[in-house]
Amino acid sequence: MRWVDGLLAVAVAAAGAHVLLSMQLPGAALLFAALAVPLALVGRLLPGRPLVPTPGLAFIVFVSGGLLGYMALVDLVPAASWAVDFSVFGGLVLAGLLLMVWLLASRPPPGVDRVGDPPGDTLALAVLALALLIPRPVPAGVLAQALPWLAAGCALLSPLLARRGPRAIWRVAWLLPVAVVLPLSQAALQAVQRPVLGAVISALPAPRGATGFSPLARLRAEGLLRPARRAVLRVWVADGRPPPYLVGNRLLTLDAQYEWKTPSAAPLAAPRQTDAGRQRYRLAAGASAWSLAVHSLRRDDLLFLPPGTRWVEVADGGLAFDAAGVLDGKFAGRDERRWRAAGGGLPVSSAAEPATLALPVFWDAELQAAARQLGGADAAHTAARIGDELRSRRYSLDYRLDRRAPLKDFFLNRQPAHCFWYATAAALALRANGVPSRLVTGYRISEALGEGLFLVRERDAHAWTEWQDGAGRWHTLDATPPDYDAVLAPYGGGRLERFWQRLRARLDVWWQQVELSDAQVQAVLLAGLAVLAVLFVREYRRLRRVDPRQRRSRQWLRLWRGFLRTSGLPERPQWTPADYRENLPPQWSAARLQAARRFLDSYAAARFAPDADTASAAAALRELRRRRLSRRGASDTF
Amino acid sequence: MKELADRPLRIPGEPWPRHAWRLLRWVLELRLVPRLTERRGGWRAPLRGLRDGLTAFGRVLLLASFALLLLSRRSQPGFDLGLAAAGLSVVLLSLLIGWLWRPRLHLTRLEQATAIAGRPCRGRVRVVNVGRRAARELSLREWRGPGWRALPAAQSTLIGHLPAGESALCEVAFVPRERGLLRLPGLAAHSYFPLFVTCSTQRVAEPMEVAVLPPPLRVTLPPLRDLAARCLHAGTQAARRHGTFEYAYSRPYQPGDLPSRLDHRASARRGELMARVFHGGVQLQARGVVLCCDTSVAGFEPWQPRPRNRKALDRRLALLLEIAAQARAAQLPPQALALGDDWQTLVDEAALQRAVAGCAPARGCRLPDAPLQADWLHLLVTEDASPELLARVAAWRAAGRLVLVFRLGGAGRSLPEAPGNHEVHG
Repeated sequence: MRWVDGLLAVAVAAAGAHVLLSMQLPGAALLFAALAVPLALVGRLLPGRPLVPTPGLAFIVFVSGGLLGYMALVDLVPAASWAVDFSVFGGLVLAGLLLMVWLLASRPPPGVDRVGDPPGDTLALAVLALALLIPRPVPAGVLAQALPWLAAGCALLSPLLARRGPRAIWRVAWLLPVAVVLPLSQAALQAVQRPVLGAVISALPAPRGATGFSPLARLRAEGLLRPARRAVLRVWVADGRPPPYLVGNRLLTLDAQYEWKTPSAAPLAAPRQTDAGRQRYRLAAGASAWSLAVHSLRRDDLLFLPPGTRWVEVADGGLAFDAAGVLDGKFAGRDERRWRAAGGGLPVSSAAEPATLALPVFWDAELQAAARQLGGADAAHTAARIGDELRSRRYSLDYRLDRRAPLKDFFLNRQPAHCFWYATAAALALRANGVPSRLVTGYRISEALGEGLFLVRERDAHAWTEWQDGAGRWHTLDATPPDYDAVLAPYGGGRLERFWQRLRARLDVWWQQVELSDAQVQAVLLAGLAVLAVLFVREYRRLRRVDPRQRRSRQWLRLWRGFLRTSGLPERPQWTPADYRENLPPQWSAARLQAARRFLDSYAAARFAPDADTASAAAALRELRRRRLSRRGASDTF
Repeated sequence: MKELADRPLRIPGEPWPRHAWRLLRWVLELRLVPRLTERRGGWRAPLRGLRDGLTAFGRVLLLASFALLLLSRRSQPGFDLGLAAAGLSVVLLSLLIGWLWRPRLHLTRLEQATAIAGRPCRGRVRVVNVGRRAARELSLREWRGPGWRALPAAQSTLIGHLPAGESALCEVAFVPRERGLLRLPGLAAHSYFPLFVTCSTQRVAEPMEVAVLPPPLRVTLPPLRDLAARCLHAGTQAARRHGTFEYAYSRPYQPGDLPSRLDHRASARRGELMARVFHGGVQLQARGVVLCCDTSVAGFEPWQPRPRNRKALDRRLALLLEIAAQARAAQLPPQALALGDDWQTLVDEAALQRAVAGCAPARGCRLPDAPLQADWLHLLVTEDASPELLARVAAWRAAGRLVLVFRLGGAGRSLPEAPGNHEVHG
């Protein structure tokens, strides 16, 4: 075992232990560190060295690792590990560790006096990347802190050792200044970190848009909103015509900091009915006039329901209001974020809550007078007048209001703003006229994909108002100006993107019809793994068969180059051994000519013969070398 | 993808709109990405510095350290800023030491190389350390250019230690892309001292011209003497050179001799293969061969400065080289070559190789009007037996020259059945 092999073994062991500790698997880390070096040695002790992993084999291992990570890593690692959130990436990293051990066990000795040692360099690069870019566990012990340093240090020295041998170990002295200036450079990096990060972020292209639904509801005096194009919900309307709104939360009070608040989240008091693993919650009594199904593509578990929903059905989830008053379904997985809802009519509550009539502290006489001017004969007439007045204004995503009194500036000076301001103004104007109202945030369904299918994007995040009539029914009032659609149109997808979304939705519908149990899904994944394993074995065996031939070709090539080097003859690609034989310089000594001819004869006779052995040519070359023939004068004659 | 050299030519009398249309098409297909060269400065200097100043290991170390610098914010305590500082410090320190200890070398090419398109070509370079310090961990490569590509750096030879004032021989390899006369502008020497993380590069202008030959053709040709003998038997040459089949002498066997002419008794006596030589029809009375190649290329339009298929001539020229090698083996040295209207004398093999490497395609069949001496065997290679070519061959034969025509199988017209006409399938 050479020095560089030992150094690389330590580097791989340290990098693997660092990765496994980072995943919070200390036992596995210990086991890997203990076994990595012996495993690397086993490959060298075996009579037949394992094949070096080819790109094809590495691809199969990586795909298998990703699949296994997706299937099993969540159950294997503690809940606080990053591998829970990035299970596929975790599987890929573990597959990379396996490949590193394999490469360590199978790497051939590096070529003499060559610039590169590709297998060793690949190992060192992989170790370096893992040591630097995989986070250490927090809080980290001494060992966890030392492991990436050890791995990176060994990887740093390995190229030097591979090329220059053990005497190059003295080069480590060149690294001493690094240790001296390290505190200084660390402080310097800490100082430049923020500016560099800012410069990098500002150099990146601006994102297309990031604004979307947010349960936090603070009114800001100025803003430049860029709605996101990302699809968040797919809606299938099964029966009837549901309202084009999906409610996230209902907000009641606006405080002095212009923040809408909702009452503290109460437990969902809805009777639940379990049917074939699905939970059906009855939110309100009465018959249903419409029904729809929703598939959430959001990253969270929030539920959005149309106003007037009677019941909602989720699979294996529990429903509860979160702190912002949004329904939260406790879904088991990303694919299960689906629900069905049905309803009809208007939502009803018995008596108006005092909060639905409360006005904020900054609501002054001027605002009150302006709001009273919009009053009507009854609540419906008032709501219609307020709606007409606000809808006659202009919608804008780029607005700037007076910072001291933004609502007054918006309401009295007819300043343009986005939907949240219009909904707020409508709700407060209704309250100023004695009509109970509340602000609702959620999504507006606007993009039809055909055949009852609708797509909701983040740009469709919307705010509107609900007001209550004397009978306790809550009516929807959308006071946003109609140019809203035109302003938001550029933030939708192009024709190709819409086609892709339609295709995805259709595929999803088809996939939903393929009802697979968990066991069947596991079986499919296991079958995929089995196919990968078969592919792996097949490819490995094929390479095993090809390898001896390639090795023999390499031996012949090495012999030929050795002959040219020993004899001093120049390389002529267009010449055959027979040409060389005929054109050997006549001034050579007889012994020299005889040795060269013997080599050329055996080369010509055996090089392209099936299963020919290199022994005779190698013996001839050895003889040529033993004679210590001078190289001088050979090139002059050619 | 077209280049500046493909700019369409204006044909006399051609309408301007048509020429403009060709120009427009040329502009639309023009390669806009400049080719990588070794010139200093320019907007790509930082990229070149990243490529030539850092090894793969150094690049990964630098990028990973920089990524770690961005990741290791206070909100992410798992990422260690100290590791990033150490990585960047190592890179900077290695750059500084490498620059201080940069080698001062004198490079000399040792031999004129002949290369084959698409195959590695290895040349030798003498490296002399003219600096005051020893140079360490050196490797050489050709300057980057458009007509060739370098072999992977990992395959380069490494000179571990070169004391001051001493010299060493080093191998430089490159792979030419296509046939032609390649002008290699210079050599670059890398020193990976001290940690194989960075490399300091010295560039030396050392121009060299290399004749890049077409890739060899896999053909099996009958011996030239045999072919000529058949021609003498059956063709017009037979009547003119009629003679008896009379034994003259035995000589050592040469590749190309008929097996039936082996002299077994003499072989047994001498301990080596001997062949019998007869005076008469099968004994070719020739002192050498002259080579000729039809360089016309199909589809080479008048407005094109060069044919679209750059390798159109390669097969023909490869066959020409193969025939020349066979003639040399049959003791018929090539004396002259015609790759157009004129004959050129071949003083040595290098002249043939240079002529073949630099052979330009022609729009029509161009062959010399007059054949050369009568005691030289005329060998002609073509891919299309056009009427012009056949007329010229007939004229040469009528002038009493023994002409063997080889046609490479392909899309062109076939040769008529006649002694001396041969179809070659490669």
